[in-house]
Amino acid sequence: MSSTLPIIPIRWRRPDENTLYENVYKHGTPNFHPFPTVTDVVCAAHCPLAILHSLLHGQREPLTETRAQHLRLGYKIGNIFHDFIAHLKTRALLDNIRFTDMSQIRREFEDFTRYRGINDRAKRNVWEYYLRPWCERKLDELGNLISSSSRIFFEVQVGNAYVSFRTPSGGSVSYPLLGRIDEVDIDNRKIIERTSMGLPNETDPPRLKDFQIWLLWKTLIGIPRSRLPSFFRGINFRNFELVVETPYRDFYVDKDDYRYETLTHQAYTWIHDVFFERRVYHEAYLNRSCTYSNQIENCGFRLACYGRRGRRPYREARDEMRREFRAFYLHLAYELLWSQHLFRYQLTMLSEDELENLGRIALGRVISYQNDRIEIRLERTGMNNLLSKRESGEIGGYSIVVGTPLCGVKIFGYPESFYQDRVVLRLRQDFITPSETATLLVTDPEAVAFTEEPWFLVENIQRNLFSLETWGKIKDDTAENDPTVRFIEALFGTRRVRPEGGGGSTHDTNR
Amino acid sequence: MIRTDKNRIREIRDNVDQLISKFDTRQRRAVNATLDEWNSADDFVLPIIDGPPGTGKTTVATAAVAQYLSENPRNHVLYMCYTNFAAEQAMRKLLELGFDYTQVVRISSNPSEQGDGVIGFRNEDELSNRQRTYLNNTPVLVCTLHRAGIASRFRRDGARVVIDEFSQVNVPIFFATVSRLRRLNPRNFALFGDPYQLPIVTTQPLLYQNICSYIRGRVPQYDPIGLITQYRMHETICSAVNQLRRALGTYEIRTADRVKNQDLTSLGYRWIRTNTSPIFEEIIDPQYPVVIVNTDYLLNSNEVRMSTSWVNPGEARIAVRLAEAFNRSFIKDSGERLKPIILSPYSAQVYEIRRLLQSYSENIGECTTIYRAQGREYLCVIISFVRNNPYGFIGFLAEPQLRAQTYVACSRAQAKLVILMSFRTFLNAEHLDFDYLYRTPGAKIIDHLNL
Repeated sequence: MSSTLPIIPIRWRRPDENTLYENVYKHGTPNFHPFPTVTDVVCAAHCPLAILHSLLHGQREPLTETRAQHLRLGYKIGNIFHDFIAHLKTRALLDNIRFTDMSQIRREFEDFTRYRGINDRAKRNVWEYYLRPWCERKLDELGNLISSSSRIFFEVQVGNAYVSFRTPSGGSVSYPLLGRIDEVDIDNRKIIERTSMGLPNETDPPRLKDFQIWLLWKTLIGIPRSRLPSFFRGINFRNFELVVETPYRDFYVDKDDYRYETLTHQAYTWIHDVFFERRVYHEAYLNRSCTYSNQIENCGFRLACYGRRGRRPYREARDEMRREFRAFYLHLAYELLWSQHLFRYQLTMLSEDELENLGRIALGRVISYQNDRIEIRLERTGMNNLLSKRESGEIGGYSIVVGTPLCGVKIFGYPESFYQDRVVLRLRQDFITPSETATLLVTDPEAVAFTEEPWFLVENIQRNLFSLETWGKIKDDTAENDPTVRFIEALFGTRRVRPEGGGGSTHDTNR
Repeated sequence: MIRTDKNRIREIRDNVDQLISKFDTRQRRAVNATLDEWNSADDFVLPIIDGPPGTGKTTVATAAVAQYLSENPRNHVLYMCYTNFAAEQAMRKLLELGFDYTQVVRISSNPSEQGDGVIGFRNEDELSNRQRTYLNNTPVLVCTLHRAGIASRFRRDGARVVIDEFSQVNVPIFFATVSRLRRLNPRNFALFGDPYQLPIVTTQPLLYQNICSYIRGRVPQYDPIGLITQYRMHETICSAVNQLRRALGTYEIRTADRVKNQDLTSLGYRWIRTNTSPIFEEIIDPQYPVVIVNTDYLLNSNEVRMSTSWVNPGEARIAVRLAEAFNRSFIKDSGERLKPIILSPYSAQVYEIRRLLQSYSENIGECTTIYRAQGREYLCVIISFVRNNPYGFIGFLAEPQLRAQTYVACSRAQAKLVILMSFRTFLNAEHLDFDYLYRTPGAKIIDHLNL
């Protein structure tokens, strides 16, 4: 992001009471600003074009691990890296295993990857380039875990509609923010952002990772104590250390660095403009963070910015199609604002009672957790809410936050049985991580169950539209024989569209 | 596989020939257009079949698919719909034509759906090698549009693509599908649907427009192939639907001879008059296929706001009592009782009616929203339009994109249609649809219900 831009904090508009209570007809341009995630804010701070690609074109992962691309690992290295470390620590804490040498950890890794469909080459590379360096550094710490009564929570979701930031004029302004913390280590008073990015000799944290953990910390400390889960309630997170952990180094983040405040204001301005500023395409392009000849290596959207669109002359009707599609991108984004973002506001701005009365959530307590099943005892009208959504066929499963709507560990389950005031849910296999086991072992934790719409489908549509917009053919004859090129040129260009062929059944008979 | 079972191919071909021989000219033209190729000089052939309710869109589409595959057994077809329900319907039609589970498969996003020609999975890596082989070798693959990307991986280059119920396929979804299918080099896209039926639920007016309307807007000379004969409803119900089509500014449809006089008694139900309360006798009399009842004089019939929805307690109560009356009065020789469906545009009213229905020990009928009823048909339909105010406000029922609720609701009925509405609200404020509906030839108007 260009640092020459003036910092003008935006007064963030949140939904009014009628909108929060869904007493208005959801229609047209929303009367509130978006509720971004930490990833969105980091993406906007990374580059204005990146946030445009993210929010309008459905592109994901603005920052990627470049070495994983070079090694062609082909899947999410960060997830394996993070999940295995969570698994290791949980095993040490829960099963009283002392990890003292690397071969023991290597064996544990082999067991861990066995049922995850990871091929041998990838397994070897992940171990060699990411896990081995990290484990060697942390061997002492891992060995001591068993002797401490550490309380470690992984993947803690935090959300707050009023995260306060200082302004250049000395005042303050608040923005909504939602994110997920990789690890909260209560006894060592650390909040950790773990990343597979970073190289052995680097002296600075990977791009914007320090900013990311700072945003997450700001979100967490802004949550009113009464709305924290019982297992966090007595803890003062303000004096926790913020750590960015790469495989090779730990970076401690200065919480008072004013650059972060500046980045935040600029990022929110861009996020606002993507939704509500007509000239945002032009402005974002002018203020982009890199150029074709000087690209940011770990930017995940390089293909979106510098793809082959300029070098593929067919289809000829590209400009007309792009003009049409731009309106769709924005309206699909508004659709998400009215559904997904409004729901985030509701979760963070309404009390739990109000949410329950609205039928948006069901409150309960975790009774038991075994293997892939969780049993929750629901309170008051919770059961009716869950049942009515199920009967109306609106859902396939439920999201469950162990904790409060503002802070907790989020999992996903399919209802298996309902009886009296209890519901048993089968957890989705790919969602079960050892970290959740640890959280759920907290005595009698509160839980919130709710349903979420498949919002990712809207992003998929945006992404596919953008893909079609940027796709093309180079050669005349290939384009001439490509039905998709022909179709688009017929619809947006000079060819004709007809409802039927020359007459009769002209279909091929011997293909 | 279809190429290995010559007898089955012959059986399918016979069934299709038999079916197509019963088709009218428009339906045959639609089949031929579906089989046409895009590749002709400078034009692109994009068959769009405009099929009003009951005109056999899915029947025509599946007949075209069957004919294509019986002639080109090595080729593949991808049959897509917006909803899972529509996909199930298409699958059922194909099975009726003689296809079996080695020739047609449906993919679902629900992993618990397995067997009987259905494979449920979320991600491709959940599939076993056997399932992959099955998907790769099965000539017809049925799925929803959101699964187009995954489905295309199991189709051969040049596969045919059929998209059913395009009223719910808006422009971005359509182009996203084109994008997902582009590596497949599809030989054509055949679109079936009724452009005047309900669009997807969205907050954005721009996203209401279906792909047919969009193409017609971009290419003014484009004229879809319209099906004009309906095989679903009694001719008086068809008249009501035609009144609404007139209000929507489109062509009228005609009734096939075999359903012209299709009432509840001709469908095997006996009217046990003694079981009918005299209050409801006129309404449920099968000789009146369309009955429009004024609910202004009912007790508690004012609209009540519930969050963003509306409920009309008086109308809900009368709808349930009518359902009970139908249930008690119409019985088949087998003892099966008629279970009418109650439709309403408002979800709050649906919840209220369901609550009342639950107070009966037996299942006397069902209730659902008009949105959910789209694509379905019912013997007997009771519609509760809910709104009742002196100002003529009818909310989204007056909106250009959502007024199709009335059209969709009325066209679900096969033999009996009962409309409950406030005349002071719907008829006195120049609401064209309701004014036309009120003037349906042959409709029985009940202005005052003496309870």
